[in-house]
Amino acid sequence: MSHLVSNSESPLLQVRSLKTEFSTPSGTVHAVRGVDLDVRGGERVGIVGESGSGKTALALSILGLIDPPGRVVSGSICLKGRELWPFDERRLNEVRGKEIALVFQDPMTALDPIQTIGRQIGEALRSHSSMSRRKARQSAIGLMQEVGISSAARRVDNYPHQYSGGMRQRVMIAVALANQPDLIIADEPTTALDVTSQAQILDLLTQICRDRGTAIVLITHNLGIVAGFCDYVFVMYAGRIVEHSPVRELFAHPVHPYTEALLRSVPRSVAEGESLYSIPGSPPDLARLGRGCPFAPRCDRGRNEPRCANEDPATFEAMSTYGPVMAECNFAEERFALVAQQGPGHPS
Amino acid sequence: MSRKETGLVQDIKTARADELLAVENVTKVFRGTGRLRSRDNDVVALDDISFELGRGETLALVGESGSGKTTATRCILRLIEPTSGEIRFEGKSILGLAPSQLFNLRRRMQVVFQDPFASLDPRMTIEKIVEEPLVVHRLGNASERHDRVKEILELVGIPAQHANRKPQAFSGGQRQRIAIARALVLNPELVVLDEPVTALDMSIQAQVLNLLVDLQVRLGLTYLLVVHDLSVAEFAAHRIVVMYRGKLVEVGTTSRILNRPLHPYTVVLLSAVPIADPELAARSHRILLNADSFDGAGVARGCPFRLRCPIGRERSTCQERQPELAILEEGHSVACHFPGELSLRAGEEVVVGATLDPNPAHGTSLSQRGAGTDA
Amino acid sequence: MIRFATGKIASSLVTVLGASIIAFIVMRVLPGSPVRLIVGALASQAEVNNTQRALGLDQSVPVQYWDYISNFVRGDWGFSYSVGEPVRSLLATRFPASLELGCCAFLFAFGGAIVLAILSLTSAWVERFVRSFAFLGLGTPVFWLALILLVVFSQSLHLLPGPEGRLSLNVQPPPKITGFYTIDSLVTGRFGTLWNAIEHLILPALCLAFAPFSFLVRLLRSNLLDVTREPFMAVARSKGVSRSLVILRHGLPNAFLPTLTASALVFAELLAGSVLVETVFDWPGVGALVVQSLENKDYVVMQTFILLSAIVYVTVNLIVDLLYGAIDPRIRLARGTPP
Repeated sequence: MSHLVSNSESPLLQVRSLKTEFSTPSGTVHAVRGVDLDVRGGERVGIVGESGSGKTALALSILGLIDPPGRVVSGSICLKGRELWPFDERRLNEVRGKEIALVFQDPMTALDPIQTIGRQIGEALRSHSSMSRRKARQSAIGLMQEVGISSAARRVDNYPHQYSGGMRQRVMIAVALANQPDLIIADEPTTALDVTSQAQILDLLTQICRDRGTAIVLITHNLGIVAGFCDYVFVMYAGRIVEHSPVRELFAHPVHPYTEALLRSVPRSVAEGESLYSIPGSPPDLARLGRGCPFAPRCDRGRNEPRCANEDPATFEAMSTYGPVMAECNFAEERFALVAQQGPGHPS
Repeated sequence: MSRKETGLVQDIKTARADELLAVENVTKVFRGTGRLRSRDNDVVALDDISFELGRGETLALVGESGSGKTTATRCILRLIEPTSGEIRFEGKSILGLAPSQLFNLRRRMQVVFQDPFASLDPRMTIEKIVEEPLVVHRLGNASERHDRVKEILELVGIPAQHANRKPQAFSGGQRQRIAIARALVLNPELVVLDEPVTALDMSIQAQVLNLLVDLQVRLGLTYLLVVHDLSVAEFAAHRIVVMYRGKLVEVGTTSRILNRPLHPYTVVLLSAVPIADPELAARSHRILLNADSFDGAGVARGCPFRLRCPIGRERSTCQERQPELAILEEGHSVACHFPGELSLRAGEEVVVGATLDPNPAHGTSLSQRGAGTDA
Repeated sequence: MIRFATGKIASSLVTVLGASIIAFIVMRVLPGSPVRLIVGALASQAEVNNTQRALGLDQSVPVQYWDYISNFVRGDWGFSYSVGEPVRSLLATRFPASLELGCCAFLFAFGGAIVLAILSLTSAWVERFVRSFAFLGLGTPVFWLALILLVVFSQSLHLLPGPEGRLSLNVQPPPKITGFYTIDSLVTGRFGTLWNAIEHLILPALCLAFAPFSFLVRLLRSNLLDVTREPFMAVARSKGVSRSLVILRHGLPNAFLPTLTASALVFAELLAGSVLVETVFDWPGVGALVVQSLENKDYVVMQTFILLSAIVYVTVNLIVDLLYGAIDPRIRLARGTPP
């Protein structure tokens, strides 16, 4: 049974067939081409994708933050059973920052440079309640302490440029937590940070998930982070989810050739003279996508297959040891059967 | 041991004959502005650092932001001046050079920056971008330059027929290749790479790293590689220098540093690297540092790492005396009073000397989980 | 902040002193003898010499300069021989008139720029309007515009008064407190006078404001567009703040900063008076006085006027610099940036 079929517990967020496009001078760019996504309460979900995969567009689409020349074309976005699409700005403003919070990628540009940190955290609080400025400031201090900013009472009146990148990202998380959302979507929250700050931020997010039961969607291109943080993973390529799988299953037995290729290209120690694996070719132009599997030109398996080039790939679903698996690949079935034979937990 | 007797100075004296670059006791202080007591506002970006780089070698400078690694490269490239100390290129000092000598030196040292979107002038075609160093150094006539540009672009994997396009037409990975081409067009001996793949997607990182290693072998290049990601250093570097707050804390070959890290900071860095394997990740032990209470002015006495060090926070030795960089074994130096004490071993509890708070308060102290890990 | 301010004030003073030297030198270098003007063409050489001595013009240049500066600071700005009044009282009536007109014009220009810049973000119609309208503003001769406005609004539609100056002929000016008829009448409760003064201000202020408005609206709009692309705007929206609030709270203040310097220049220029507009509307301001003085080589008026203008410019720029520091914490708190 697919992860995506509702069982006794209906998911917190359920996205179906979401399509988003952008009108550019060189044509219509289909950034999100029919994405299905489920997030359950308290779950840690990863969306893995590289530049051009549409992952940021997906995050923004869910919250209705796509501005012209882009627009969400169609689909269903169900939050706690209530449909958000078609978008109603007033309803969305209630959802944003309160039921779903977003943590952006670059902490250096995510804060207004001429307002204090306290004001900006307070803004999140006061947008959804009639809190006074003073009370908001107090609450902001509390939030800052929760996310691990020392001397919060002194620092609350500082300005963003007085904070380092890691601290600013903590502030962003404090902003996200302010109204106790059910879901936090974090778009590459650690990409701009040092490896030690990265570890701290991920630990903080884990703590939040554990202590508050907040579901977290972590968008990243770093598979190492996904391995250590997520319970369930969606792999995105060229605007579609090409595979989704429980994390252990994904790393042990990747079904989609793109997933497998990604795993192989993680930098690590190699023997003398050997090189790292890198995926040949480059991502497709999202303005010029026709039928056929978008990964076919770069795929070891499907490069020379007319089926892969001309027809949309078949959707494969199965149940693995760790949970339901899906992949959009003509060869998924045989690949899955192959690794299933090897037994659970066997590294591929 | 007094400082003169410690190994590092000896290291430099008995440097290999093929040593290309030597940095000796370099200090860089950025003076504070404004107040009378400007000493309070001074930022000591580099504090008495020394290392050397052999021909054909890749040395990785590893550290967080604020460690001074970028300042060190700027000093080496003579983009800023060290406050004190010596830097030698092929045995000759590069600090007291006349402008014309410095100009010629620049041909032999080039740099690739981190951000491929900011390092290429969006108004120039990539042909012009890659050609520019040749024009500046007045090398070759127009047709010779054109040939050279073509040659170098092919070398980095950019088809020459795209040479008349502007940077915007290329992806991040391609732009970084163009930046590499620009760095190589003068046939330098030393290339400084400042976080060359940090801004790139994972699979593109692999491409560019492969290219860099390949070019090193083919062209006999020497790399000074600045990274904060140890897995990149693992793949590309022969030796690693770990920096913290302007000081060298550990120097050694890649395999030594990664398999037997001696300085607690190195251990922490290693434990922070994400492991692309959920099984291992779940079992792994990450040592987290408390959030750095940000203070640019530096630490007066004692070890600069003592405030965040899992083993040094409670120790008076660490509070009072600055550790010197000392050779512990062949090719492996460390600046620590208790090197090797903090370690991560598979299946074992963390071995730590001082008392640690087992119940960390909210986010402001360490957190420990699980058992050991393979480094 | 205090350190920041004293530094700026000190450099402003230096600038003013520099301007005074230049003013002084320029007036001495101009051809023509002011003494002749005073004593007349038929006076004898002896009378010329006497007058020269009396005016202190026979002293050495540095001494003359020192006299000039020390007198100025004490409030003695000399006597205008072409007009026949002490310069100080002359300017005391003229300057406020120009100031009031300039301030009003600035309000129109800046206020209009803000409103239209914001509107142009949301309405495509306004955006197109702004883009083409702005050209007109920068190319329209101000006196032509003045005449057109007068013909339309005063003569044909009888909505606003004609070129009568600051008040209708039968209206008494309010008691002088600031010299601004609007403020003075408001403060003393003369609401009829207030209304009359406002009516007379509208057309000339609009005229003066037209070109600066065009300039400012384009600048502000472009800055606003840049700012809306900044990530922190999207972050604010993700908190649930409505689009318009985000623009008001985060967009405008950040867009103001680069507009501030340009606004300062515009403001200073407006304050210095406009000859053309003042002439058409018969406005008793400084502009016409200046032209007169130049024609008459009335160096006393000129050198005082130049110095005063310099002070006005420098003060406005100083205020802008201080405002910059007040608004942008990065400038105020230069220290504290992480390496």
